[in-house]
Amino acid sequence: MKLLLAGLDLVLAATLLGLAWAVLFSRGRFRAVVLFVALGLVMALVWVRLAAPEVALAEAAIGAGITGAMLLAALPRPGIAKPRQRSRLEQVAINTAGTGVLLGLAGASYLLLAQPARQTGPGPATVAAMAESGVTNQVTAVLLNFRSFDTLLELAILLLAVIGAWALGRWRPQGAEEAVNPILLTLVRGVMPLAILIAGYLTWIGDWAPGGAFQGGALLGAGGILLALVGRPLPDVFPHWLLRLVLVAGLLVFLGLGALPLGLELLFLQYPPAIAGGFILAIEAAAAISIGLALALLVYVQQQRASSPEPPPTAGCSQAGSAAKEEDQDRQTEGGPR
Amino acid sequence: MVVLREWLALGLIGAALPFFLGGTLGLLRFPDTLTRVHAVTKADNVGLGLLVAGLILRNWSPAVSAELLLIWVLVLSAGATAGHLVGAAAREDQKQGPPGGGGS
Repeated sequence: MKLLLAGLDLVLAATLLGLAWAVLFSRGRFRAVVLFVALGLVMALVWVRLAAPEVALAEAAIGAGITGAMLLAALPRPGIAKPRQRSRLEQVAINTAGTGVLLGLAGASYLLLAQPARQTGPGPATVAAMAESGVTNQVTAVLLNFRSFDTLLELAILLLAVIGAWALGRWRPQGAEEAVNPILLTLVRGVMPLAILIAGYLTWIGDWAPGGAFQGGALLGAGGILLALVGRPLPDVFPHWLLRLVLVAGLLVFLGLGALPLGLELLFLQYPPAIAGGFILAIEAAAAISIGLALALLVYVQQQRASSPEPPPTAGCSQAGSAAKEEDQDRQTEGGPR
Repeated sequence: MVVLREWLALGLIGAALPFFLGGTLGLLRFPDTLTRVHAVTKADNVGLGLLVAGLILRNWSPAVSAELLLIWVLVLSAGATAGHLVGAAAREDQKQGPPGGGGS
């Protein structure tokens, strides 16, 4: 059994390296994106083998799934990318640099492995403080209690990314031009409630098992992308003020609950141990919904840009989805409220 | 009884492997998109069914069994839909584009 697992690990490591190489040096961008998704899935398996199921879930959902969808949407026209012929010098430079990086990595891994393992699993400080964290899952305790400031800033970064992307792109309703495949529509109809349910479940179990806001949010985001594929993107379905509110809700709830302890003469984000579990669950629930919407919106704006042959006009600075309604009437013209 | 169940589970999981192998070989070696999609969806669905049956026997708990069955149904429907979409796109390409499309 041990030998079998070692063999599996070796195969996984070799596949990962091979795929990484293939992503970087494959001909054609479409091929590279597909390989990148495969790389993310193999990476998720590697994280499972490294006993990090949280990271595996996030890698599969965000790294492979949502990032893959973003990259696909950003491709100008899938499958037709012409590979540029590299000159001999370029080829030599690339090969030399690649070999150098590989050798450096090999050396670094050797140095790492040559050290005796000092610490596996959570540090003693984490274990000692678990009783005050309000949850029993150590990863969640670190992410949402001990180092919650980092997670707060991560949410802020995601929000900034969405704002930036929407400032550059411009929303245009998708999918309405061509008939939606009825089989896909049936699948989405059946799967969507289940996806929402499982996203809630993943967020909920984060307190004591692998899961949490990012994993649940990624599932919600995937659901939002599916909706766009069947011609029902979120900005067409919900009022835009509501979407904006939901988009910032995660950060606002996090900030608000983080500031509450200040009134109890505690520090910012220092939840009272007795009710820390409730704080964390509330923050995670709000964050999951915001993350889901943010990820979906990021893919939407990419999709919009990929489908329009012309870059958006220079003065483009539209808000998230504000132009959608008006453009329903005249989809082809470039005009829209700024 | 427990031993019998264990062996049965191993047998089912073992029976699943040739289907995955066959489906993957078909995906890699078949000549065009439609036959490739055919290979990978059909073979993987059977393989996954056997695998799930084997894992249910091994774990033998209602909660895990329900989760595994749910995974099976989800992968089945997602796989069938994806296969249909790829097939439809490939046929569209064959109708419009130059003949012999669908290679990688």
